[in-house]
Amino acid sequence: MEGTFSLQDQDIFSTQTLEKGETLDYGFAQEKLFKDPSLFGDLSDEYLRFFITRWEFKPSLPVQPKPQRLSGEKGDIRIAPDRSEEIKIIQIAKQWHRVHLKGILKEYEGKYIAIILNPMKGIHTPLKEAIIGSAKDFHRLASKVYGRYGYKTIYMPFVTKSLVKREFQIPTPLWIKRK
Amino acid sequence: MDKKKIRKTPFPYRMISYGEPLAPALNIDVIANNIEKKGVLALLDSGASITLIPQSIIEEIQPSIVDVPVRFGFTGGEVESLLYALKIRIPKVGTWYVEVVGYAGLSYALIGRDVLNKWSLFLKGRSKIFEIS
Repeated sequence: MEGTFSLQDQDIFSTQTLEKGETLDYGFAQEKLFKDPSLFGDLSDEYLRFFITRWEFKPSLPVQPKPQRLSGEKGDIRIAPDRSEEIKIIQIAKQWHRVHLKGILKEYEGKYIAIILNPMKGIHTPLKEAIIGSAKDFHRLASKVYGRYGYKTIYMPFVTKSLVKREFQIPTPLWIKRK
Repeated sequence: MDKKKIRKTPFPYRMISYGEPLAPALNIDVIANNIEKKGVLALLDSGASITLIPQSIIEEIQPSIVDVPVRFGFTGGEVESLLYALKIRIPKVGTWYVEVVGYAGLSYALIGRDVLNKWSLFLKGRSKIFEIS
């Protein structure tokens, strides 16, 4: 077990991190032996009493991956799963969408479309090959596309003339605090 | 003349937070990647243009991404999120694929107009019941 020992005397403050099996200062090592029964050795009661009363053992927290702030959060930090590969797929499909906007608008304006690019052709995938489905309703398109290709990352934009970021309004949850 | 019988499903109003008036809310099931999160409290919110799911559930079920990034206006500010596709099931009403955003600031879901517009909704505020048909 890894942890930190702190001396409780007011005028002396000391902390030190120990690892299992590590040999350090005699006092630290004895305390470690006492806290970890599997390492219990020949210690006199006198020493044990001394270390129990004078030293406090705080186990280290489990090592976690570095927290990453997620968008959409205010002050709340969570560990985000890595979805960079999926985001990359969407970004390439978005780029393709931008390039082929004129042709897409002609045929699909006002509809949702699903885009999967041919990995060999990438951004040069022809329009007819890349657009694997379209529908006026998202549920209908998603059912069709996920049914055929499986539930995976597929770019499914709503076709409009504008290619700016999609925006949504959620105005309700405003706070009013009573004093 | 025969009228097609419309099935109405009643739900009781629920308490979203203490001290607030009861609200049209219900438990939904959220499904993605063959993971089903049952009984997620969801508030019907005709002010929201999209459905919102608590970020903790998004992280748990890992829904498929359909767009990135999108912006949504919230509590006077603006935040960016990924846009996900997942299935929501409302018992006795139906199951749909919907686009959703994730947000960590709420412990319950918001059912936006993208879903509400699929139904007829009758709010019987006095009897603290709402009907979906």
